[in-house]
Amino acid sequence: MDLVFGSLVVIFLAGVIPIFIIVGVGENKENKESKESRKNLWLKIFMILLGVGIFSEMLVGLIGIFNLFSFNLNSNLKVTFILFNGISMHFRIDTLSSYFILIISFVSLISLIYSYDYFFKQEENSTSLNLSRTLNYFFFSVLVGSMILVVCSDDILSFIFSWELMGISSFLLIIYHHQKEETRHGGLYYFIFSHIGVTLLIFGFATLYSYAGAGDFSFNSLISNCKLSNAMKECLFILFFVAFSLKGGVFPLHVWLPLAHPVAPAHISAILSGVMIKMGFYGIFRMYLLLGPESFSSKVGSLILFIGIVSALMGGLYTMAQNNLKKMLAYCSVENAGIILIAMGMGMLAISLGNKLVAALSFAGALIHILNHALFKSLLFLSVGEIVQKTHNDSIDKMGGLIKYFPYTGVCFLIGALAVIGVPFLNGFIGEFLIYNSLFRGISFNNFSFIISVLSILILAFLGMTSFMGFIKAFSFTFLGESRVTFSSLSSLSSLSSLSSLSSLSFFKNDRYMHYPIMILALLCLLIGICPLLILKTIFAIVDKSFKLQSIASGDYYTYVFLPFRYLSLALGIFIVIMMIILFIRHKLLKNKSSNHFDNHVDNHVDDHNVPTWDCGYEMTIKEKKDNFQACYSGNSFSFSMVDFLRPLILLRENYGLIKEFFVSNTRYQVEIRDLVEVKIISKFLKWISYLKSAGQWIEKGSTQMHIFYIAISLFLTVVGFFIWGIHK
Amino acid sequence: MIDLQVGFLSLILLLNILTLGSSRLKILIKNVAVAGTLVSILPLLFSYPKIAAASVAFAAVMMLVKGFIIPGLLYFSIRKVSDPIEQVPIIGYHISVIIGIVFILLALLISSKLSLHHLPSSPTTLTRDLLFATAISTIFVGLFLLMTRWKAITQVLGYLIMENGIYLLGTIVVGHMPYILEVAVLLDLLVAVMIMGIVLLNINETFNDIDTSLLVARSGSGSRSGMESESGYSKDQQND
Amino acid sequence: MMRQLILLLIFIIISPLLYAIISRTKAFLVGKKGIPFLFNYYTLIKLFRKNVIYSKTITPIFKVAPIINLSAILLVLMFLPLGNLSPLLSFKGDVLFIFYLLTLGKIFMVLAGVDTGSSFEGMGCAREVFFSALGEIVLFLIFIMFYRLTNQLELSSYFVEGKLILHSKATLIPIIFISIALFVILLLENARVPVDDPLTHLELTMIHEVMILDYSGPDLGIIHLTSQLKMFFYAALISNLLMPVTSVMSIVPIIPVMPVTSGMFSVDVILPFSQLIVFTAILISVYVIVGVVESSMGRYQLKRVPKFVLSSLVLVVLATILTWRG
Repeated sequence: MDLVFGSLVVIFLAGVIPIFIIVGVGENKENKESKESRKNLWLKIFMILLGVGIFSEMLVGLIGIFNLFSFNLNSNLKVTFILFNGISMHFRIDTLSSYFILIISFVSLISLIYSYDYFFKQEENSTSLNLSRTLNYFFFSVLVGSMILVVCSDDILSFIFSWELMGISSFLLIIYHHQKEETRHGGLYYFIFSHIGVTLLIFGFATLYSYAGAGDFSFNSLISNCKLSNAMKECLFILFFVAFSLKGGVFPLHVWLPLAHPVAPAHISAILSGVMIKMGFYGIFRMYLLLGPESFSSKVGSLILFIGIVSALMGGLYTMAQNNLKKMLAYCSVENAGIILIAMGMGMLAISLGNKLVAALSFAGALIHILNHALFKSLLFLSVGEIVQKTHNDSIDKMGGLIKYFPYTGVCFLIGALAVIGVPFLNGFIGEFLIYNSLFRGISFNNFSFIISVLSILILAFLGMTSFMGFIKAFSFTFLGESRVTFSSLSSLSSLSSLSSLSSLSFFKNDRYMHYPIMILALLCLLIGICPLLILKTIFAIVDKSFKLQSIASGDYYTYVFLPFRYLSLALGIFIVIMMIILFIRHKLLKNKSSNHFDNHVDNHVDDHNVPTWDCGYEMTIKEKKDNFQACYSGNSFSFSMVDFLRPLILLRENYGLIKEFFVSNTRYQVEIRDLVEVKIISKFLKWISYLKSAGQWIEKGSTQMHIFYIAISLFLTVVGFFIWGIHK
Repeated sequence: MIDLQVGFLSLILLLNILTLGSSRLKILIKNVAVAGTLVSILPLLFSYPKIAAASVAFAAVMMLVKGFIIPGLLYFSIRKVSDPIEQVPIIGYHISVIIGIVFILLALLISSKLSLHHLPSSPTTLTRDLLFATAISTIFVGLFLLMTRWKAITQVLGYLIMENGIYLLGTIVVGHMPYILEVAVLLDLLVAVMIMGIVLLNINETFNDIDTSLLVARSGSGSRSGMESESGYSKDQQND
Repeated sequence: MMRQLILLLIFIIISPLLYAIISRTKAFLVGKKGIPFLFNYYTLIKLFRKNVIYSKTITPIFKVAPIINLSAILLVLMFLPLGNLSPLLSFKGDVLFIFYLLTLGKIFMVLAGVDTGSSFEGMGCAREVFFSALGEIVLFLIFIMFYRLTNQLELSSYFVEGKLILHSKATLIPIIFISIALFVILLLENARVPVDDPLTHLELTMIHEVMILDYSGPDLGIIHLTSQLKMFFYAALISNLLMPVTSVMSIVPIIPVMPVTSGMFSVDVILPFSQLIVFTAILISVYVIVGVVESSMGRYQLKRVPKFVLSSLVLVVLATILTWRG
């Protein structure tokens, strides 16, 4: 425990350094070399310190997990800070917390390393540490520290304190590019939703406390003195669930996600999507464990399962329909939040129906999916961040053929995309396998909950294909194929073409702090997918310990979990062997062939690419006329047939010029995809609020004197009221 | 091995859902004709060992009326109609099929909650539940067709499907209906279809089309406003 | 174990022959003689001897994609039970693994399609993904129904010893419905006529053919082999499903078992051998039916294909309802 707080102190102290840099050393108004080097020195110290702090937090997480296998490295797991007069803040670390600490610290460390190059290789004010970046780093450390505090807190006060801290610091991190309108818009939405969540949280905690009678705020005393009936506990849990799903980005309340995540800097989006959303799920887990797994009926589980299905389906549909890279990733977070909720709902349902194997499988699936999502989502956001930064636009319709310039980033994006789809041999499949297993077993329930299991299996299958469409569309139109815009208009890419020699050295030398984290994440995805058994044993141990499902004989785990995964690794080995054999045969077949050349080149490589794509003859004609290649499939066209099939769920606004004449010179076509909830519900809601506001407009005339008048009146009334009340008493 | 009762019932369910999904009027009429034939034979199957001659005769008459006469009448009135394809209905075809499936599941739910013990000669609970579910879902499907389609012919067909369902329901509740009652129902059906046919001919002559949305336009309460969706697509482009 | 491996290799080698049955049937129905049975082998050999041409736009993904597709299919075939023999590999939950492996192969083919930068291939890839999405739902519903009947998620446990029919409560009608639905999925996944016409090369009608427009030489040979193996896989699923039916219904007289317990004619050898003959007979008839369907239908408009797949979904739902509580 001392290690936790020691490293937390280090993290927070490290955050102060950027302030010190700006205040002490000053902003870079003139190009003074000594100031530069001093600032860079302090910057490096800050980063190293912060990195060390986060790394030690990671060790804390690992220690907590090793304790499961009875290494017992740390016996001191609870800490209480006494503030004043009986109000104290309790903190504890148990296995669930240490798992989350591990995820938080790992992703934050990766983002920190990434941000060094991301911030300091931008075009404007490139190498200086200006005010925005300073504050960004300060709040970065506050964010990481507060997330760890959330996970460790055992007390209403500490929970809400760290939750608020997390919300505020993340808001301030999102609005880094506050000059842009859409950034402010997104940040504002995020802020409002976050605070609605906090309000609901406080309300729930207050209810809980008022029914607990005596005792302090700590969770333990709340539960042991709780006088609520089971039905009331269920209602309270639903309230907490709504509050936490506002943070987790679950469907009807997800509106802030696609507005806030695209506008934040890439590593902030990675932390937000990868880790902060998980804080919502951590809260749901914690409240579930607190309010008692045994006292819930099957309604709660079914409700959460149903909301998970809706969220996953809608998120998946919007992922497929989007043409903006970052927005697509944001909707993908909504979809995966739905999948995690499906797993959790199934687990709760299983516990209420008494089936412990299904519960263990689904909770393990939820926890693994949380880890997997953190890994591949941050991988995707970081690689997309590099691309967007270097090409200055984020719509896939304007990119193409970028894999020549970003080969390794492209491959890492492909690995991330394959992991999202849930392809075997990558980590997404592991979580989905467990969740599918538990859902299939859930069909055998004789309650009517089997309908929801069937529906969720079908939706999960459909989601695999919609994410296939969405991510393969994104990958192909960004990286593969021809480029869609003349590169002369993008000055940055012309500078990149000088380093497009594709040598691996240039990849690893330039921007290495951006590339190493991406590659580490991609390697981890592959590793977990190939040999998942290490992680699986840990996760099942965590599930057993936290949810107290120890009564499962290990035989069940062996047949249903470990044996299949051993076969999976065997299957991968066979797959690679077959691939090698076929590659070898193909190599032998093509060995002595000369190349076909139309241009009479001298060299004789077989695999020479010197022929244009056939494309039924269209490519040659268009390429000759203009410089850029425009008659090609766009993102919208790719997903249009599916979007059309599912039309009422995805709002599409098409603007096109009607063709009236016979010989048309030009016309236009524009498609805009709008979020269903945002358009239908939020705008109506906002309309009512604006009605209310205009109704009450007459009170506030805007002049200072009126305000002072109001203050004076209210003060007077308060004082008089107190006197009268006192006299009356 | 092959359970005829189950087979017939599943065929009827299939035909209902196919009716929900098709857009060509002739195929719709054929579907309803086949479904009517099956429905009229079904009571014979259910009272298998003891089949009275009268019930065979009655089933034959019913098959004649439902399978040949009424569809024939409808074919005749369609020949004069200009556009033999249904327009895109208020609720699209794919969603209609899915809603049809949901209806069947709902009907199964209802039938499993009720306990029907007095059904004659249905050996398994499955057949009993399935019969009840078929009856109720047929009624739902008929009502749904009535509500969501534009052309008058399809609405007539929806009414016919509903009649099928009511007849099936009658088969369940009573072992066999008294013959007078059955004849009365049949006569009622015949007269209703004749009247509808005459009205249809008149509508066709007045408007040159049997699109009921035109009727709505006449009454001034807004024409085809339901077709304009958020998407700004014009209706012509959605012809299936 | 060895026996299964040899059997699998035999079937892999035979699949181009089986694929030619379809063309032969179509030709027979029209009155022509048709291609020789060994035609596909000649095509493969010709393609393997050719050289490759690659376009300028492609990346290594284009070259690697057919190989990944073929390896995925071969791995999937190792999980397939043939007749009543258990497959080479099986574990609990392998059904999910199989279908996600098929998706992996498809992903790489779609990537290779868009890699060329041609808009036609993009069009084909979009349609391919859309139709497979609908097909996935139907397949998963079929496996939900199988799971409900047998409480197992292993592909081998559904077909070995005919568990689905004998030990469960399924009667003939659900099996017929499921076979029809599987047949529709076969047509969908292998791009046969109601969904796509494998013979034309017009851009409006292509789904699978258009994705492989730019392939040549050994790569194209690998792709042809992959599509033949895929057809074999789906047809084998249908034959497996229908096989216990025929054994139980004794339509085909089974070769009488000699009461010898050792040697070449022992019970251990003859019984699976006769079941294998039945299996192959049903397999060939599935191919013939594909040929018949292809000759008798035209290709659907692209808008009608979702309805086509939805109709198979309805069939599966009905079959599920019929076997839910039995």
